[in-house]
Amino acid sequence: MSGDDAALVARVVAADDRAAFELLVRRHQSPLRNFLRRLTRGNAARADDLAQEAFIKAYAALPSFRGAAKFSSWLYRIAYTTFLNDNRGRRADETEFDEAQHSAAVADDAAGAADDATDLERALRRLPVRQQAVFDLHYGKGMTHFEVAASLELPLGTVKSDLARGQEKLREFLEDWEGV
Amino acid sequence: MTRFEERMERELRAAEKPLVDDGFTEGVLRRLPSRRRRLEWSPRWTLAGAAAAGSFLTLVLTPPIETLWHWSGSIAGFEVPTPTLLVFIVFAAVPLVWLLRSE
Repeated sequence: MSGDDAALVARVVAADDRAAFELLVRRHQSPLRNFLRRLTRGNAARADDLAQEAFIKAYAALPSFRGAAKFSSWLYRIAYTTFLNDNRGRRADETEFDEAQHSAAVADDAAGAADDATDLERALRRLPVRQQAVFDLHYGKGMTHFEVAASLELPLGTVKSDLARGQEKLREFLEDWEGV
Repeated sequence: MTRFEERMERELRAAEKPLVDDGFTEGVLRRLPSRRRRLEWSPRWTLAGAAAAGSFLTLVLTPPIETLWHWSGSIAGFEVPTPTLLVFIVFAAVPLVWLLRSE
C-alpha cells in the first residue's frame, strides 16, 4: 500500500482523488468495523452500516481535517459520534447484545482462544458504552491515553478514570482470571 | 502495566482479527456524493474577482455608454454627471458577475 494517511488525505482534498480515498477505506475498514462491532454488541450488519456512514461523513468533512490529530483518531471520532447519534434513536432492546451473532463471530474469528475471549467480551459488555470504547481503543488498538481522548472527544482525565474504573469492574467480573 | 492489563491487552488484540473487506469498500465508494465542484472559490476571491470584473466592464463600456448618454441627454434636455454613471455601472456589474459565476 503506497503513501501514508496524510499523503492520501492531501490527494483527496486537492484533487478529489477517489483512488486515494479507496486506499484509506481499505486501510481502516477492519479496525473501524471491529470497533463498531464491539459498541453494537456484536451486531455486524449495524456496525457495517455505521462504518459506511462514518466513511462517507469523513469524505465530506476531509477538507476541514487539519491534520492536528492522526487520521485514524479523527475517523474513530466520527464513527463514535455516528454510533451515539444512531443509538439515541433506538429502543433499548434493539441495542442488546446479539448472542448468536457474537458466538458465531467468535467461533469464526478466534477458534483457538474463543473461551477467554468470550469471558472478556462478556465482561466488557457489562461496562458502559463509553468505557467499552475507551478500552477497545487503548488496549485493543494500542492508542495512547491522549489519542483515545482525541478520538472520543473526552478530557484526558476522563479517559484515565474510565480505564481505572473499568479495570476495577472487570476484575470483579473476571474472577476466574486468578493470579493475574 | 500490571499483569491483568497485559492479559487484557493481549486478548483484546487477539480478538482484533482482520475483517475481510468483502465488498465493504465498494459499498462506501458507491455511496459517496458526486464529485465536488471545482469552483469552490473563497468569498474573498469572489469579491475581488467581482470588483475587478466590474471595473473592467466600467472601463470598456463607459465611453460608448457615455456618448450614448450624452446624446440621449441632449435630446431629452438634461445632463447626467459622469461619476453617477460610473457608480451605476459598477453596481450593475457586481451582481451580473456574481450571477455568471454561480451558473
